[in-house]
Amino acid sequence: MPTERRNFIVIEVLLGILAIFCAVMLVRGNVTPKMKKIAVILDDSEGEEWNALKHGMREAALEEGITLDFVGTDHFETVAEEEEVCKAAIEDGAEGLVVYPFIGNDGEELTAGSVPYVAVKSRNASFPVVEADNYAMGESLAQAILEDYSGNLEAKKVGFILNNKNDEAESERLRGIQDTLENSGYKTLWFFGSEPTKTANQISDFTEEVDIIIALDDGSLSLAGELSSNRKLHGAVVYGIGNSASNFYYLDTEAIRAITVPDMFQMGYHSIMSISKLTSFPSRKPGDTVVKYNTLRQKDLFLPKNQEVLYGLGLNS
Amino acid sequence: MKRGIQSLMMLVFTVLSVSIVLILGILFFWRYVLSTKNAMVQNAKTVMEQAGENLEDYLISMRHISDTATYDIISENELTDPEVERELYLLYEANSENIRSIALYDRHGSLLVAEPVARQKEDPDVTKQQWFIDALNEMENYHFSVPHIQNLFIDDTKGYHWVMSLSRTVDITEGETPQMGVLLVDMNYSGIERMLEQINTARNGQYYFLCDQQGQIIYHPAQMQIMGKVRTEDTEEVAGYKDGIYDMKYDGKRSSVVVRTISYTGWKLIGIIPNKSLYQGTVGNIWMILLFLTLTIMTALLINRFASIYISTPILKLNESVKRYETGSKTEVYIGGPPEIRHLGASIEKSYEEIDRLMNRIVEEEKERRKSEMDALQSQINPHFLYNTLDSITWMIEGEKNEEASYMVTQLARLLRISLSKGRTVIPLGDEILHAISYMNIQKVRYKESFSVSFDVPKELENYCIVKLVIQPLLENAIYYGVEGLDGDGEITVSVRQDGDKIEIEVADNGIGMPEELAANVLTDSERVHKKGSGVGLRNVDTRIRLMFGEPYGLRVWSEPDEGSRITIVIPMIPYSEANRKMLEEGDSHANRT
Repeated sequence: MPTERRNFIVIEVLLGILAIFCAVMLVRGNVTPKMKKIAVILDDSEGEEWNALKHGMREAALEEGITLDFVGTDHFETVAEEEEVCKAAIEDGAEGLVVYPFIGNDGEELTAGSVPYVAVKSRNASFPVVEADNYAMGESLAQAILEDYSGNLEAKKVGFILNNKNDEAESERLRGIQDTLENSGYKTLWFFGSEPTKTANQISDFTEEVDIIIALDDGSLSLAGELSSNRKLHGAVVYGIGNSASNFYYLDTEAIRAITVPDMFQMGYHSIMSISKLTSFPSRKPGDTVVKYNTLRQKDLFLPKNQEVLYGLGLNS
Repeated sequence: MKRGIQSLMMLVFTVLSVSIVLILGILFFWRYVLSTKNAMVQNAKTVMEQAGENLEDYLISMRHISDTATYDIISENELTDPEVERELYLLYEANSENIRSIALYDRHGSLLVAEPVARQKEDPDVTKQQWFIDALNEMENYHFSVPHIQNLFIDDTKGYHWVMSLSRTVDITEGETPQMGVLLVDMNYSGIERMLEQINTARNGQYYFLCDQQGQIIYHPAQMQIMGKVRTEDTEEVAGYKDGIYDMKYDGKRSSVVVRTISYTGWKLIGIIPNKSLYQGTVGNIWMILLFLTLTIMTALLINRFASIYISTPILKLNESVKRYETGSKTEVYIGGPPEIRHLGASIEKSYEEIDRLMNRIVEEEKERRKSEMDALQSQINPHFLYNTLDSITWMIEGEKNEEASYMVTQLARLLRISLSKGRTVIPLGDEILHAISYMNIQKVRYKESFSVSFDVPKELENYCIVKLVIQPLLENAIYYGVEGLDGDGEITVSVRQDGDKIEIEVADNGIGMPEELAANVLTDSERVHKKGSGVGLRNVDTRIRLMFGEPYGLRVWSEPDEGSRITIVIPMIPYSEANRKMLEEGDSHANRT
């Protein structure tokens, strides 16, 4: 075959392939790409504490083109319960899960399923976590307490309220507080946790003897704040770690003396960015992400610099 | 490497058409992008105009509320009049969708009246709140604050509200002493938020935000990300721009920035259209343009190929037929294709026919010329000898020597017969020898046997072709320049022998010979005047032989003074036949030799 004719045929074939490729790309472009579905599984999903987290998740989902499925849950009692919920979400088509990993009484942890997982707020051995530095938050809160008492908690009795003593976040916070207050002279009187109703009664019964109540999670802080607001704490001063709007109300109304607030908006935002990367590139393991926190008092609650903290709570109404 | 005409045409057409298509494609795409950009920018401008008007209407309505509260309620009534509270309540109720609260404070920050009625916080520290400070600083103006959480009243529902405060100083009538107060209308931020969310629905990177003149964000679709330092927005610079459209690098990206000032507040509504967003929705169009370009180039290549083949094929065919003609084969010249090529082919064919005709004519003329030359050469030999011989015969008849006369006539007749040879130029060697013998017989009589002659001719060599009348001139020379003055001792011999594929006819004499110089030039010196004979002699013979048989043949001359001369005729061995004779006479020196 003459060279020129061969060259002509080769060029025409190459152009033909290019034309077919362009046509395929054109057709594909007209097809709306299927959005990734990510399920979000939280303990007591409708709880106020998750408002800012969900806000951040929605912002990130918009950017990444992801559909979020906030699975409705109550408080988990066992790890198996949460695993069931996770399994159902995967069967429903979730390509990744963002979870608050429940820890059982015997230290049993949630294990990952067939899709990528990212944990929020509390650590898990099996998958990456997005959290605030819980130990540092405990430290910061303890510093606020020390400031209020000029560093001397001699003879002060402290009661701790927490949700789940096995929870890694709460145990780190406790450790941060205890380490910071170690030489201040305080005395730990009691620990309460797990069942809100019983705890409230117990607290109310026992707070005659306690000077300071420290709540290690948002729910516990709300409980303590409410009791304080209703003057059922016999003058005990409440400090705590939390982020819901009602806790801010209690801080504003001085039922709570100081709150350390993790940036839940950023937590939610980064958790979705992290899971998005994991689902796109499963071989790449993103590391843990640490978000910031703030310790607030009533007097500086409405300062301009703290507006962003308040904005992140999703307080808009 | 030289390209053929077809390749060259194909290349030129292809380069031309692809270049045109690409240039047009690029221009078209550029124009399209420019149009899209302009359309998007104009669209953004229109959206912003509308949104700006809506905002201004909203702000105007807030001002009206403030004005109503100021002029129709507070200024008209004593502060302690229950009518103030009632009318303020009605005003609030009528606008409760948009406003959070209406409150009146004295210049010291003490709450005088508020709707809806709510518990004031224990120490809201009103005098340190920016809306209060602004109102007192510039008493003539309205003041709009940036969004913030209302920090004035206790909400038993534990709710907190993002509001924008419209504050102004008012004159309060209380007793005899008029005093100054600050009227605060807290607008629900959600109203503005909703308004601006509605225009931030594009997912191509285009967005709008609202900021004050110092660049403080009032609304931004990614406000939380900016606050959370996940994202940056360089608002300070653009907040200072006048209304218009700016093509600039914004936040590191090439963008169109549209600025619109909101009246009464000086706020800036900013629209950002990154250039990248122009392409986001147009990816499909880009593929379509690429597809179009590719198909166009394919089609152009195909058409180019057919066009170049259509034009070049007749030329190539014509070229092939000319090449074939050049190799000597008789072939028809290609006549086809476009009229110009057909004309070219026809002209070439006609030219070739003309060439053939002229060549044939030249060949014919050459033949004629040779024949004429031969005839002319031959005719130079005969007359002089004929006259002498006839003289001799006449003398013999007059002397009544009839037998000698009869012998002479016989010999002459034979000589003349062979000389004519029916007009042929090529005769058998045997006849030429007979001619020579006849000639010598006549000459011996004329010269009264003053010399002897002998012939040594092998019988087998007699039937070979020779040009007639070539030996006789040599014999003539041998007599006149050789033996004539020897007084009876002259000897002339004629011998014929074969030498390879040649025949040599030697005419030798023992005459006076020639000097070396003369012998060397005897075949070439045309100006030498001959004293005797026809005067043409050796050169004539040599020329005729070479004309007939070709350059390798002809005469060889040897002569030594006082010893004699030997003239050798060299001819090829061509058997005599009618066919060979004709071929030789027609000019083909390559007659069939055996």
